[in-house]
Amino acid sequence: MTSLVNRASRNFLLKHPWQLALALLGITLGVAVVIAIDIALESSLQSFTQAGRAISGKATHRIIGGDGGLDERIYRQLKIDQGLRTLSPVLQSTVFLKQFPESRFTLLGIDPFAEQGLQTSWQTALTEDQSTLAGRLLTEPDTLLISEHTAQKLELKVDDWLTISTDRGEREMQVIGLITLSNSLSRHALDNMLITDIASAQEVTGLSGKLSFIDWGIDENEHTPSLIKSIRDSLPNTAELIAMETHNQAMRQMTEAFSINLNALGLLSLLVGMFLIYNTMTFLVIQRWRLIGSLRLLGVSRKQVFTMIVQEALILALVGTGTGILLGIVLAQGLLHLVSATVNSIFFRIEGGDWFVSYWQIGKAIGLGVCATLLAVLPPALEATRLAPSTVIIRSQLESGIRHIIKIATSLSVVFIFLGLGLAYFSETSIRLGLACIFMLLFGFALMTPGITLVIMKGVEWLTGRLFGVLGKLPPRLVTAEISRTGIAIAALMIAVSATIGMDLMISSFRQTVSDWLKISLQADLYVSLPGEKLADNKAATDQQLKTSLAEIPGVTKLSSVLHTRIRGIDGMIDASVFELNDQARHGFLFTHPPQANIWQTFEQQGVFITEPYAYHHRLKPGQDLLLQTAQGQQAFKILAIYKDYSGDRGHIAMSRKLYLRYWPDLGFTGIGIYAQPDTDLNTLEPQISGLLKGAQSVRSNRAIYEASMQVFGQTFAVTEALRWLAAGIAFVGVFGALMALQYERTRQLGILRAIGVTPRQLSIMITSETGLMGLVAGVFSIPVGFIVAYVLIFVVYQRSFGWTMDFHVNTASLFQGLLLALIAALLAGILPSLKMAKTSPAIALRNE
Amino acid sequence: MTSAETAISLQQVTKSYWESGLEQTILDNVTLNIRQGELIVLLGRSGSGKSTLLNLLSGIDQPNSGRVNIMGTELTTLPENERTLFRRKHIGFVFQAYNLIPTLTVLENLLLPLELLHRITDTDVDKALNLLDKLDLKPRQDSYPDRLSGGEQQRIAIARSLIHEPAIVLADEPTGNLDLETGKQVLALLDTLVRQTGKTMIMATHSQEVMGLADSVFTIRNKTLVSVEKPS
Repeated sequence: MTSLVNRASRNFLLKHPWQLALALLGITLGVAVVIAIDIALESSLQSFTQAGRAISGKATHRIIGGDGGLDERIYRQLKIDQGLRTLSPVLQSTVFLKQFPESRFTLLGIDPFAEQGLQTSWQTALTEDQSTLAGRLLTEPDTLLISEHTAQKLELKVDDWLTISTDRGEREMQVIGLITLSNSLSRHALDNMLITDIASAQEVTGLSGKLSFIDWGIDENEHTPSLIKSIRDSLPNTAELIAMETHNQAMRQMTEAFSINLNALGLLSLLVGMFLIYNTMTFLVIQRWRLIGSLRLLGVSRKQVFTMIVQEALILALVGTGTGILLGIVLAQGLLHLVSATVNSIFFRIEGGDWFVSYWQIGKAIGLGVCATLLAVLPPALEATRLAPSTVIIRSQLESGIRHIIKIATSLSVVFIFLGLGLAYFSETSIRLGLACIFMLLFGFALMTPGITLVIMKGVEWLTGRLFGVLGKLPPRLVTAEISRTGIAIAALMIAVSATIGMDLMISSFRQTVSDWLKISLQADLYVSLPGEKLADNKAATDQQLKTSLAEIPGVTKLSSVLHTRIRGIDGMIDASVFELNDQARHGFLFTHPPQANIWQTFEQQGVFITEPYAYHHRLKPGQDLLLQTAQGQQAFKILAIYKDYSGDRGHIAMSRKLYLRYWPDLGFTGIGIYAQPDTDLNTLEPQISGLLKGAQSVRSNRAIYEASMQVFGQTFAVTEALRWLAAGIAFVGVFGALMALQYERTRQLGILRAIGVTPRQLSIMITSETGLMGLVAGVFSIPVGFIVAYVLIFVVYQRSFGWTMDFHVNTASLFQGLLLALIAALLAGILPSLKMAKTSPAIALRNE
Repeated sequence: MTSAETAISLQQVTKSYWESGLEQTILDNVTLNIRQGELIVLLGRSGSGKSTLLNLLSGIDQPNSGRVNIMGTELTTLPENERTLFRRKHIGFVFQAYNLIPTLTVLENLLLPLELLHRITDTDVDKALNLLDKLDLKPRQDSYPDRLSGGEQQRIAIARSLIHEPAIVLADEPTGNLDLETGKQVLALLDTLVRQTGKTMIMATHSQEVMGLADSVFTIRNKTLVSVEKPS
């Protein structure tokens, strides 16, 4: 293409910096949100992986046990009998420090010399002067190492003494060295970690003869499937050999649904961004009808026109994507905190580490930004090529052409909506298809928006015309006359608001469901939490003693207990809750189907319950058998019922304590429920119970647990909330930009109105009425669409993601908020243009062609 | 000329704009007095300042110095809002590019100046329809402006400028976008309607043919107003 044709087009763009900036903003914001989510998610998960590497180094495999941990004799057997060299026994336990009661610390017991072979990051970070430190851990009792970062945070120095507090009592330990780590992820991994030798750790935690896991680094030479098989076969039933890669993948799988949902929110922002890009590019093409017509008269071909527009879009895409990536990196730092909080709440503990971005992520963002822009610019570019070579094309003809497109779009919208609904129905268990269904529905309704706007404006015009005369007809007429732009702005706002309403309805339904569930589940008045290590010496006996003492407190009528443990199943460890239930506690179970009359007798003797998520993820039904590894070999347990549980998304099984003790050793309790006499003052009872507790053991009322749980619930959705507001923000920017551009294009028309006597105030009212009407249409339309989105989220996406079923709770406040959001966004977007136009001298406005 | 007869009075009016950091004077020390009912023609090349002068007369723009008095009202002392209200009542505008409101129908365009003054009555609608009838445009009352020809649009614009019976009509190159024949028809219509109703009209044009209709002819030369003798 000749450079002059390009220059004619480029000069036009440069003369319209507002539109140019708007197009760039659409791309920038869309890309920024997508990459920010990607960075935040990956950084969170990487911090988990890196944290693992900081303490497992080059280990390729790990031998783990259930909650009882591993017998340290396994380590000796593997080392001596099997001749494995790079083995590292580890004992890991959560402890508290008396000096810092608010924080949790991880006590890591290791064999420094055995661990050297795995080159853990903390050991490789030791300087020459510190080379003796690892050895001193072994030779000097009650010594420990901490990272320099932790020392700075807690204002500790070498030789300071710390008091380790566990439910077994307190123990003084001395800091003998500080580890300096240059890698930020490893630094975060060692945050709040106290490294000591394994014997000291066993003494402190009371886990004598026990290990948490054994890390194993396979040499390439000895890496044979037969060796792995022989190790696996040599392990007792309660232990398991897993590949580290599988372990990390399992963690990723665990967060897969969460990641998909977050990425979907990012794509929603990109979709809204695409509407903005489409809007702006259509605007830029429409404004250039005359220019394009003239170029065609001079002999510029259709292909050249198409190339010209696509080339422009490509440049915009690259610039917008570049700024989007930079903005995304900034945004990611804020999101990382929220994502980490959610991962911590639902899945596993991670430290909020630093962000990192890979070339792959940048490549993905560039690809996404460029493709989204080119896709958005395709319709206006094709439309431009259809232009007849003429300079006398009038706007109304263009708009009537667009009305034809609107008719097609409305017909297409029905197709998309039905396709979306069909997908929801037939896509079975796929989360991705569930989300694709939402996107299809949103896109379908967005296509329908301009057509619906025209119908609504007809009615509004009739009404405002009657009420306010000719001037009253102008706002709806302005919306209708520029439907090619106003329709898209309304659609973008509608998508963002309906997604907001949908998510709000889903979250409030979920909140209500969880709240109802908690109220039913928390049958006891007070709950004692016993977080100590389960195989600590005499743990079961001490817990039993505590239970007896609690029962003897005046005012306590009955008790219940639970032990949260892990049992080895056919394909890995299964979380299990072992219950000792009284009559009242049994009312805390919400079964998905009415249970059989004698269900509790069977539960006590031979069967298990499974939670809804467990049933969903493992495709299990009542009546089927669940195979578990016991000390006596594999045993089948009949699934009696499925019950609702929202404490985690992986799910777990529940069995009676009586049944559990038949096959597994007594590990004590994780919690004890206390039922008080009706007239007992709980405020008096609580301190009495507290007096019997040690270390990290605590007592809380059901109210306090309820409130804490609801707080965690809020944290879990903090990132979702943040992202939906981001999408709404992008829509607002879009509406704002579209309206600004519209008003600038109308400068002359508004100048005429001013010339014939319309006051600045009347002009402001007219412009804000127009934008208000746009907001109102978007808001009203987004209510039913939001309802549908919420329905699909609750009954399709969330059920597939987490296996939870929820009741649909209609929160009318959400609907009004959505309506208000759309209205306020549109009104705010109209204020600046209206003020600007009202202040513009009619003389300048009339000069402006 | 007594003040009672004077419809428009410009006293030592100067108007300049800033352009690319330089002050461009468009009108320098212009003085003009026009009687009620007169038709004044302003001649001059494009960019000579004709439109600027009309903008000053209508109160759309303000001079840098000097006074603009219309029908006894000192426009230069009025704030923006009052100038708008004054314009709404006393001034009718005809533009070269017609400048009808594209989102209003022909009838609605005619009713708009009336609605700005008071609530539309049936009499107003009848009045607008009669005017359209006179212009042979009654069948197009529900059409939107961009469906009309240039001549039709300008006839509607003339009707719009007169419907609220302003004392002064300002026409800025009303035939500039029309062919010769249509231009003549439009001028004849403007002359008839204005003369019939006794309005004062100032018409800016570069067409010499209009001079025959005018009571006085002026031209802007060297940023000031110069009287031109009408051809006999």
